[in-house]
Amino acid sequence: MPGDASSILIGDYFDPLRAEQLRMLWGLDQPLFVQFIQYIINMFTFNYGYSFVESRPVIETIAARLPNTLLLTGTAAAITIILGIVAGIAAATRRGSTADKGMVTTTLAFYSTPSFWLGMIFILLFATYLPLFPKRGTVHSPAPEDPLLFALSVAHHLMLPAFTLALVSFGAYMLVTRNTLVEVMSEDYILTARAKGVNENAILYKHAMRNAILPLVSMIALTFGFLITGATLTETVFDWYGVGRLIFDSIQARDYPVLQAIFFILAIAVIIANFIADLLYGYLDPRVRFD
Amino acid sequence: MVGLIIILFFLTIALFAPLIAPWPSPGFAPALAFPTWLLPFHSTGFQSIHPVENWHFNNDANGWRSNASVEGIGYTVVNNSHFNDNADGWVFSAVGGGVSITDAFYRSTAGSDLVDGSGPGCYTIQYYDLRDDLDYGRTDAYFDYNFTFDADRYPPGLASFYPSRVSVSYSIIFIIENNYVILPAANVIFSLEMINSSGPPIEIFSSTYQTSGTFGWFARTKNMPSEDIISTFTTTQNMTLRFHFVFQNYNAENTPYMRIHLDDIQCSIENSYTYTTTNPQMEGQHTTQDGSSLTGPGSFRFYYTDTDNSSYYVSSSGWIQTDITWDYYDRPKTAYLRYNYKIENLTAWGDAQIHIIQECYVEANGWTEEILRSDAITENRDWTSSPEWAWNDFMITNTFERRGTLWIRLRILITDPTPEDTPSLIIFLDDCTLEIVGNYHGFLGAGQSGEDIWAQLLWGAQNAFRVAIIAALIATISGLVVGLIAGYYGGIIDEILSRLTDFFLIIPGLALMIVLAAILQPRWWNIVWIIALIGWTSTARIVRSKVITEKQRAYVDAARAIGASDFYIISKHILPIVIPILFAQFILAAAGALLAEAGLAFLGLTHPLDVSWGRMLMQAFQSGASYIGAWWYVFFPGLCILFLALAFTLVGYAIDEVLNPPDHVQS
Repeated sequence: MPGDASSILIGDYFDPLRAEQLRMLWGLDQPLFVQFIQYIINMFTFNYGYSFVESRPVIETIAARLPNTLLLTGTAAAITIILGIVAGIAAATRRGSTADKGMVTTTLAFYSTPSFWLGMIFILLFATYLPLFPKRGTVHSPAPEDPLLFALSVAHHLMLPAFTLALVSFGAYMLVTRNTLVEVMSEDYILTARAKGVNENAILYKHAMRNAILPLVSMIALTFGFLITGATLTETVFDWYGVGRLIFDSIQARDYPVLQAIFFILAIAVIIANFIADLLYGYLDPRVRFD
Repeated sequence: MVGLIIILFFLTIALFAPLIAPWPSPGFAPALAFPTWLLPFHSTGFQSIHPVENWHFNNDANGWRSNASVEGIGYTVVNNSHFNDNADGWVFSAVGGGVSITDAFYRSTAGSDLVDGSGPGCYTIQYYDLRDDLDYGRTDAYFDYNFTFDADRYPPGLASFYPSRVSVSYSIIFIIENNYVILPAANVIFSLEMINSSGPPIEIFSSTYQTSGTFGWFARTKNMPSEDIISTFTTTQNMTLRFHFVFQNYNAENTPYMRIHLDDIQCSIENSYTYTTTNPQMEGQHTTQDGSSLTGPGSFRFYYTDTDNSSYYVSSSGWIQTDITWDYYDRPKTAYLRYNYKIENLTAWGDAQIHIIQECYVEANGWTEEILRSDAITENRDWTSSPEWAWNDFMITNTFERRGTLWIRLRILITDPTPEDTPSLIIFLDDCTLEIVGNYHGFLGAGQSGEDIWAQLLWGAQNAFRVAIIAALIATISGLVVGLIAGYYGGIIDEILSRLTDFFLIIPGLALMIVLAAILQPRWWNIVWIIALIGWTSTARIVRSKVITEKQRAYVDAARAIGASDFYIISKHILPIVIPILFAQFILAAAGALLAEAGLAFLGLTHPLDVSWGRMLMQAFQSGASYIGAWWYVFFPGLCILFLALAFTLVGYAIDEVLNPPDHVQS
């Protein structure tokens, strides 16, 4: 990365001596290999160091934003999953009809929508023209003292970004649900169930969904891995005080310790999420259960 | 099918952008040169029409007598001097005073002698305390200037009106004397108030002038350029400017004598209007100036009579002042002053000439800058002709400030080379309007610094295809190679390559791309391979599984048995099977690349001179377009991304269904 945090922090009136002091303070004057070894040691001791920009422990910087990000991405993920699965089921049961085609096309359109654009359009429609929601931020400023009001304020701010994120990402769930359901519904055992005169809803939810849910579980697990990193673009558009925005800001400011910590946490989160997905797979599908 | 059409449409645009868009790539010319009503959106420019609010006229009639009668300003002034008669033991007399000229906005009593208090608008107020038996004497006196707003003078549709700024300047001398050689202990509290029907008096200024510690007289001159009150008025029809004096005497032995000279009172009132006409600001329409709707204010008559044979010229100057607050980031580009004028000769005036010189100043950030001076319109009149009204348009095209004050000055210069002539004339000015408009911005409006959105969309199409197709090509080929090698050779190679694929599949793509884009130079080819680095994984996976099933077929074994090399088998037998998958993968990767490029551009990581749809959205976002409702700036670039990405996706799925029907469904 060209330049380092010292040049960003010192700004226009770049004083080489001051920059050298900062580099020494941050250990940037060490050879890269030494820095790397130091980084590895620190990672094993969960010592993420100090943020260059905020001059406080990185873990505090991240901890201040992580709840916001989890709230946003969690809400969005919940909407995404519910919306995706419901729409997928609706499309699969009407397979081949105009409604199915319309739903798939709409889903693909949302899938092809840049999230930041959708966010800006939402701001335009629901915050500028119809001032129903706040335009930006995480909570009203100044933040309300009353916890209830605080929660309401956050919820109010949460609506637009959460729906933006959900709308641009529910497509994958919808398509996977629809395609697997369509596939499963053509299996012989469904025909058998129909022949037995089982209620159509029971066929759908008791027989078909049980098998169709499997690819969804791995998708959900992957999604939860990404919850930590948040949605950089959406958070940028809505000025949401979260980790996704922090990644971008830290890159801009060359704030290496923050970046290292975020990627480290991210890697762990992804691994854990995949591990949980594998366990769930074993629980849901006895065929792949571990011995 | 629809997707194919959309792709072809954008491809055509991208290929022919240099021809369609008449502007060179990064720098955009401002306006389209054909009739704006032909354009579907011709969104505007942001324009506003300022009715002429304030005319200030002054004369330096060099040997001429001029009588400016101002009509239609909206205020009539009645000057009242109220002297409170409960002067507790005081006697007062007011000398001078009596503003004889009923004028409107701007009252100037220039040049009169302060001390003897002559001239209009000059007051000498004298107080004598005749009763020395009082401990305490207090009385107050005030002058009122009553302003009455005459709404009929204004064009219809006046929704709200209030005086936005009142400024007063005056000269004042206090003289407090005592008949005894003791401390007078008397003072004058002088305050200036604005009183209106909608609230309590607003104090503009207040001060107490005391006698000094020594006996004798005390004089204080206050010659203030202006006392401003920035309005807290609401709509008001009647206002009173009050010069308020309170006299106090604390000592019974005193018989103070106070004299106050008040002179050079000038008061100007500026108004703010709201009309019920639709505000053209930021609307997608061009409101033409309707001269008839703006008549009313701004009618003037000047009488000139040459009374002095020795004089050579007379000049009158007047100016229009309007405050510019430009709501959008784009500055106003053009202002039109339009007025109707007529010159009526009262006497034959020989070889005298009239010049109307137009000058324009912008005052902003504490600086006054002349931005245009027009050539004089010279009227070398045939005095026998009957006077006719004529329109004059004055166009100011120069750089305005976004906020400030625009002054347009008309100087009327009458030269009379022959002293023996004594011309006499009336100049009429009427129907003055000042219209300030922004630029026209082509089909789809313009952004923050006047950049044309339509032109950027065209150039953005080029960039979109360039990045999407090259990145998708690299990604597909890399995926193909990795998938082929991993699938064909298997074993440890497969293990390594598959783990690599998993790694890239699971890593948050955007975060990695942001890091790489920040490290590298923001050139478009760097962006391309960064996107390709993320995009190859799904192709590799699909190709690998296809190759694994394919290489177990008997004919591959047969080929190997007859001694065909690996390269031969891959290129002759396996590749043709795999190729159909690649078409769909390529198109889908192009959709992904398009979205990824938009994201990177939105975060400002692409080259500033590479016009792209994502970058347009970044500029829209950074300039707060969605906060202020500049929908055309936000809507179109995103719509292009959406349509093209959707078209890629639809075509990709269609190709997939056609080329790989059974395999695809089973996988």
